[in-house]
Amino acid sequence: MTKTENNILLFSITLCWASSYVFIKSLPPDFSSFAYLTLTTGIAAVILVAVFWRRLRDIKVSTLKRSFVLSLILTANLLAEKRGVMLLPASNASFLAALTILVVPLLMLLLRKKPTKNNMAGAGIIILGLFLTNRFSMSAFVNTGTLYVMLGCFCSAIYILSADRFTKQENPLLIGVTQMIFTALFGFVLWLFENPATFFSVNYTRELLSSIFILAFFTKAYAYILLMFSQKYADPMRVTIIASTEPVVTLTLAVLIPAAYGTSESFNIFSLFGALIIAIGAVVAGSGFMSSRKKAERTELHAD
Amino acid sequence: MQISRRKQFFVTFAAFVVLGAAFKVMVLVEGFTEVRPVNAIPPVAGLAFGWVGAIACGIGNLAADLFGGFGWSSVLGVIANFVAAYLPYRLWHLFSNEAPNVRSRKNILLYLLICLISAFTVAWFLSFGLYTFFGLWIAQIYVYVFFNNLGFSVMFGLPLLIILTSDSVSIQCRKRSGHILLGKLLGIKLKKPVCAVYLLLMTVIFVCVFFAGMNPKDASWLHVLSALSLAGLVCQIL
Repeated sequence: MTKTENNILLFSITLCWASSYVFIKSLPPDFSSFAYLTLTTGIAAVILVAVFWRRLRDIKVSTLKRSFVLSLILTANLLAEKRGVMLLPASNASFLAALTILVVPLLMLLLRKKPTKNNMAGAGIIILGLFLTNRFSMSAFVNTGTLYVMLGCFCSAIYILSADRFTKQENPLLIGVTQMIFTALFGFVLWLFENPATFFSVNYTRELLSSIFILAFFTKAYAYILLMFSQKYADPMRVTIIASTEPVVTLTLAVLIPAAYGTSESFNIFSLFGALIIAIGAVVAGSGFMSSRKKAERTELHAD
Repeated sequence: MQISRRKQFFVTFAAFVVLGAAFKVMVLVEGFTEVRPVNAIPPVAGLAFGWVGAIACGIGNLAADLFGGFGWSSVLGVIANFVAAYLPYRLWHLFSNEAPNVRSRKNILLYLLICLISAFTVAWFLSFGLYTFFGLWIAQIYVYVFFNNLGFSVMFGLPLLIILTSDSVSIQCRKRSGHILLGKLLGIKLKKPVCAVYLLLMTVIFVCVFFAGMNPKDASWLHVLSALSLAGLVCQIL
């Protein structure tokens, strides 16, 4: 796979995740987070097993162990994200989720991998973009939803770093399929504790089924298999940088998706410039023009 | 990876029906069109499986219509989706000697150009078809169909083609087939010029409908362009 092909895949994943905020918000407010997790990842697992069932014979114990760890992180991430998105406007949730770009280098520091000057500068620019989008007023973020999305953001960063390591050790396809099965099982157990009636407690409307299916297909089955493939060929910073352009896409989608879906977000000059600055920040963080060539080469070698 | 024709048909058909039906709730023009990520499938199915993929897309669209929007206009949908898949297959092999892939920038550009021509074609065919056969002119249909086709075939179709042609999957795409009309019957080497004229006609129709807000009721010369476009399309397909 060429670098361009890999970038296209990562952008496609970003698009799926960006659109997920709009669909999550269209779920009924009383819809259980555990039901959401079980149904979306369960359907995704069924789709993936149906498509790749012949390849499942190659699963090893080590694959199961690693995908178990990934699915634990993913469960925490999806639950926190869903809770947060229900409490915040879709575009705000997406802007906060873009802060993964700050958490990933910080976690890399803990792992004794120094972020570059560009990473630091890019992070600063992204924060500026975030403030500008909200006209330098943080009142919209003074909400419990912010804490949940930030928690999701932290889990997402751990997930990216872990997936980076595991996909280089295991078959990314098998990791992708088994983690989805484990995540669905975790979701189901939690749902069972919350409401023993589980599947029978849901009022299945056409709109609900449609949203659940869309989320399962695009944001789980499609996006996570593609992510596993991409992470095999890309470093975690590149994944995070491309993912941080998510607010730009979310903002556009939140305006374009039909009002029938209950989302009516305004697209003003501040949000436009904020999104542009975030995109510029992502580019700055992803490039290496601030480091000397030797240093950049050394960092690259160290990362390898 | 080689897939039998039957499997090619059923994989494409199943994907089309499931995705097409799931998005029926996101209506854009009641009874006619909705947000359609399923439009990512036709160019890829056409490039990978040729006419088998194209027939699967056409019939798949008819089956998906059973979940909403089924009517006589569904016949136009069958033809439009067949064309949306088969035209990319014909155009790819007209401009490239390689099997479909997007490993080089040249090939990415070719894929984008093919998606653009295909989107122009489907939008023109459906909107003008509805006017010609049912007396309905809805300008929004042209716009929505165009952006649905172009947007989704680039946003999801391109990654799908990357995965299918990657080393892990390495699907064996259908080989080129000759042009009957321009090649065997008329024996003329005008395939590329005909395609260029067709693109020009499609662009003119797009500018007239999208930017100038014209319609075939008031500007009857649009019918002439439409008839010429139909001739051009037949030349590409056969």
